[in-house]
Amino acid sequence: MASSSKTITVVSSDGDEFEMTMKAAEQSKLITHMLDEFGVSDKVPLYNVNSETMAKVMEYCKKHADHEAAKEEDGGAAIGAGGEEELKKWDDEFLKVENGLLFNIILAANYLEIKSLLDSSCQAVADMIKGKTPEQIREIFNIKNDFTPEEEAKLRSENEWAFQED
Amino acid sequence: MIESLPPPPSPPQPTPPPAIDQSLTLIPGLPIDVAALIFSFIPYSHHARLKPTCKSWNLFLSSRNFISFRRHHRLLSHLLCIFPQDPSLASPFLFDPSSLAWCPLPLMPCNPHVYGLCNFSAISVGPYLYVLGGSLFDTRSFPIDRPSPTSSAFRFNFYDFSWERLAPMLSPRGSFACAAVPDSQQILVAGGGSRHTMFAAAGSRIRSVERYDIGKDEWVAMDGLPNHRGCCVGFLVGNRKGDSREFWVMGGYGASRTISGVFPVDEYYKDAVVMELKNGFDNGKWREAGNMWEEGERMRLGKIVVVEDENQDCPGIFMLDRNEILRYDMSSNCWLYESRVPRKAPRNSSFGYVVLGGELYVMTHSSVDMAETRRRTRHHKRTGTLFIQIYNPKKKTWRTLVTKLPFNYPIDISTTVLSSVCL
Repeated sequence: MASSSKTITVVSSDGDEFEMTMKAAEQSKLITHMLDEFGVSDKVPLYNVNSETMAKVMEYCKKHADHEAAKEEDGGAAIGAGGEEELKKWDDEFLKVENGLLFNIILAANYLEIKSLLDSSCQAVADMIKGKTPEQIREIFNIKNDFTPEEEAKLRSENEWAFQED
Repeated sequence: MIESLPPPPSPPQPTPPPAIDQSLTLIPGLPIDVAALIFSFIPYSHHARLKPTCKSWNLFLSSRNFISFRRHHRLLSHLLCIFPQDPSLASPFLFDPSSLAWCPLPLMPCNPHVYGLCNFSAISVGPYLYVLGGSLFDTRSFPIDRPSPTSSAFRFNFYDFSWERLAPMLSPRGSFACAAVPDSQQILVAGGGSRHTMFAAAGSRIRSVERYDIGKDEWVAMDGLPNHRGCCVGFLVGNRKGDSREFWVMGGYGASRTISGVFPVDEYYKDAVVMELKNGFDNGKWREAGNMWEEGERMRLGKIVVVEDENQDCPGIFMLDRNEILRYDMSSNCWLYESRVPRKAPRNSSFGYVVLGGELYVMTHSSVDMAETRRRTRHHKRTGTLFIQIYNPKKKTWRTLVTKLPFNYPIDISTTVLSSVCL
């Protein structure tokens, strides 16, 4: 955005360089610590994050940094009550990607220590699991069924929870 | 944090004592600590149906490690526990409001000489639900049809889904004030009596106060209340980080008087009594906090619930007085109008009232006679419905939920014991 705000450069595992503002970089605890330790002049290498994932993470950090800045201005009047809900909707759309990329986003958020992104992306996977049968879950996540049919039947019968929305 | 596998070139993480096999993969492609976080976002009521997915899921979802992880990250499901009848005769049920799901609990251990347990306290501390005291009929007593208070104590263990019998209280009591002190693993009880739901009046009242030491499974007497109180409410005030806290016992009834020498009428207390807890529990003395309303003013005799707030010293104390919610203001020692229940209770019935997840649940039960006509037989099914109006004291908004009860017998929701538990 504005050229007056400080920027830092991060390098993905593919060697691509990405510029981010200090405010966006502060979304990541890991980057913040590295900058505190080593200063802003060097480029920050992130060996675990490829370019495709890096681009998404950049987008998230920028959006959330801009949201925080808007909250600080006007004491929050610019955001209003609907602002938090709008951000949540943005997050939901942002995470509508195919599973491979979603998992990479989770791993990146975990490594970079971006708590809000980690929580949102894990919630997205939790929502994928909730309400599905074991067969559907095994298929989506490529999990092998290592129960015998008898063992599986016994476990199913032990579940006493009855759901009314079914 | 649980160590992730396979280890990526990330900053070294401390290894906790592993309770589960570290080579377990829960979700292929994700380290186990991240998988644990994902599972933590799934409501407790869904866990059982996920266990048949594969062996590692079953192991992990049943492990104590997972329960501790969720407690540590405060990712817990808030569930309602409802006791439709004496829990040794009819299953209590867990209800998950976010998924509209019900699950029965096993029956409480049965003593063949007693029946009709009611007016007991059900209070949760961590993954345990304590069922203390109450009023019941004892076939060994004389006369048989007079209820007596009980000192029995049980707890339900949600780790292995079973009941445990605990040391009994020093004094038998029902309808008593009860407050948990989770950080010091104590449960405080005060007052109470023998009143039974079968009788609208009568029953004894007591003054005694005692505390349960969870670790030692032992009850210790504390200084008795200044006066006999039955049907009172108890709560803790004060910052747990600070040295002193207070145990408040509010409301209730004392002596009984009769109108025209025939109709028993309760003498209600207009005040609370407070015990200061400095340096432990055994040196406190009671002081009177003053009347919350004066003679001639409208009496505030509704059910009182307590909303714990970690960020505040004083919990939110809310009374349901007919169709109004009142909030107790400690600085002025009086009840202030908070909100009105959107839909009134039907004639001749009262609300059930309980706190869940920081919100006030106001419940009506209606039972609908459904005549199901089929070609061959006519079935008359009695299905009960719970209409729940939920008030959020922070947002000051109401929302509603409707759910069918999982049992067919009628209940009086206003006297049914209700409790909340976080799992």
